[in-house]
Amino acid sequence: MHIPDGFLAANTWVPAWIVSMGGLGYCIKRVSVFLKDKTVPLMGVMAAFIFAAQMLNFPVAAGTSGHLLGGVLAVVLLGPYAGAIVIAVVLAVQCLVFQDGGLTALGANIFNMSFIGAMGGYIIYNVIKNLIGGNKGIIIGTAAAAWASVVLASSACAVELAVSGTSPLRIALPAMALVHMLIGIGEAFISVVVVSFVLKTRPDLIYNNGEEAAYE
Amino acid sequence: MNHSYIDKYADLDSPIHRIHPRIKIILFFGLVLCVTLTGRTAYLSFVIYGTVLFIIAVFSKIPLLAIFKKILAVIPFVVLIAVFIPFFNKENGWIVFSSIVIKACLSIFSMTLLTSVTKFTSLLKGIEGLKVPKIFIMIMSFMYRYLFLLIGELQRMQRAKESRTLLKTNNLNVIKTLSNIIGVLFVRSYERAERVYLAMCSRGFDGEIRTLDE
Amino acid sequence: MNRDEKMIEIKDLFYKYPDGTNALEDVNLDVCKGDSVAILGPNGAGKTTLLLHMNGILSGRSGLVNICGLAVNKENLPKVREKVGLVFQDPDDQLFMPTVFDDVAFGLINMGLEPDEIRRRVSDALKLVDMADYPERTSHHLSYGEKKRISLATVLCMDPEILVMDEPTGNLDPRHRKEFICFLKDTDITKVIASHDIDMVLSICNKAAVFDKGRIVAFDTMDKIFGDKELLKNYGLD
Repeated sequence: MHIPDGFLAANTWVPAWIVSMGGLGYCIKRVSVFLKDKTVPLMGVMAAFIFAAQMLNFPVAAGTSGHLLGGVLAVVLLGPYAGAIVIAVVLAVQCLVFQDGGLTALGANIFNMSFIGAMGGYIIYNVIKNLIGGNKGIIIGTAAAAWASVVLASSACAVELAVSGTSPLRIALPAMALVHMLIGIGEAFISVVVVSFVLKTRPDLIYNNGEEAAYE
Repeated sequence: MNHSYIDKYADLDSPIHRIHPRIKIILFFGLVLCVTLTGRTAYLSFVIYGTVLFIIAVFSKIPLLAIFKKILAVIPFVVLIAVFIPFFNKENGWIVFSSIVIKACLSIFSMTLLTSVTKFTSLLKGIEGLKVPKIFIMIMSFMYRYLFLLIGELQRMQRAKESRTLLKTNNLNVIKTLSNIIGVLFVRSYERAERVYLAMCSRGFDGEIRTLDE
Repeated sequence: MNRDEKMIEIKDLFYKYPDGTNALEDVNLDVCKGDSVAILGPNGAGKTTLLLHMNGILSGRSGLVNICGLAVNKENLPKVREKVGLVFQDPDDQLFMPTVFDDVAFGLINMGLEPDEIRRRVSDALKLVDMADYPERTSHHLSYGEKKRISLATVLCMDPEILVMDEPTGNLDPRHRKEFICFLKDTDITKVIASHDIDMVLSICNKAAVFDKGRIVAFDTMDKIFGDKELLKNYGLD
């Protein structure tokens, strides 16, 4: 889902950059207030964690393998603002070092995966978590949000391609959304197992779990 | 993905390697910008960009095959999106398609060259000059520093799990086990982040990130 | 050297972990200038927790901790952290900057020193731990022994008056361990060392405090502690 350079027109990737920069600026302000001077080491190590987790090969079917995207995992564990930052940092490093995603397209990729995917996923997660309550709410919320985040992020990508004139919506949207509805299942499954593990061992590390957040 | 490929060629020596990181960033980022903004049919411009990049590549002593392999990474997206364009866009579908592919390839060429001739830490210092907020630079620096450690921990856990697996289990169990490993890694990483923070405080860290200006 | 000058003064220290369990109970400890005090005891006894009180990372529920006469409180933290050099068990926790130079310079920059002074101290500290050629290296490429030495340098460059170390020889191969012990023996800086390495402790330290379940059960000179066979047996130190 990392859009390369050349696929988006300036009318899309320029505003996407502006919105993403503004969004990240706001996120870092919120996170700094919360984490204070722990921000840099925690965000840095967590970004390394997401990056490392994304590198794992998960066997899918017939010899193919898939990877975790980790957007909802990041926000469930770290909260919406920190999660968005961590995903953005991972995307930036992937772009710069691995050429996974274009440079001009980085703004759009961050917008899709950090904001639409991760933060959007958090909204879904939070609603379900509060609706159902308890650990069950966390698990179901994670599953639904993880699936939805992947579909939403890829849909946003399709919209951007359409606005750029690269590919009309009626083609891009089904292509992206349908493929990612399948990918979303894997994403949901993996995210749920990880979150369940953390719930069992260190429930205090799940963001906003109970009265006190983990960042005290 | 192989983490050893970060900085794989950055320690070579060539006229290109020796250029100051900030200039390299302006050059290669600038090239990407030009490529992306160039009109779809400006084929002469594309040829010029490609030639410039090729000449730089030759001078940089980076194996051209490695660069070519990186450019191939654009294929999945091309297949998923771009390849359909000529079919629904009857007027200038092929022009759109070719310009997308050319731009994507040239951009990857440029970025691959940049990161092959620049150490990641120098790259970060250079980006700082582009007015990226210091806190993001520091976060990326910490990420880079701990990435290899975490990947190593991940690999150790995978190996340990493999040595305990006697029968071939189905995919579902493998996915579950790997996911649990991710869970372990998260807890360990979080605890490590806390210890690193304590170590920073022990050396006088008060929240303000200061660096020695060279 | 005024051997009565109290470098570390801990009185009636109580500390509880966030989950409520008692970590330190009624701890009293005085470390005089030039002392090398070993902190001994089984895992989980509270050794590391105690060390973290010495530079104000943790603060007790009650009791006091004084470093060179300064009370360890929020106001004095910067000064306390200049005087106390804490070396953690895992060097990867202490080497968090891009290059070795950056890591050693980190504490010095926080102290507000001039750039030239910083460069000089970094180079001196690296020479001291025999890693003078390493300033441009990245820490993740170093071996464990090299990382341990650099982490020591990151603290020594700040010219602390007290060196507090948590398992300094843990996981070191025999050669590096010997070098480390020689190094520690050579310096007369006041030291507090938590360790399971009895041989090291016997060759470096002049006093020992034995910890068990958050309490100091014995604090005396090395001869008296290691002469007490019953004590050693009870706490697994024989």
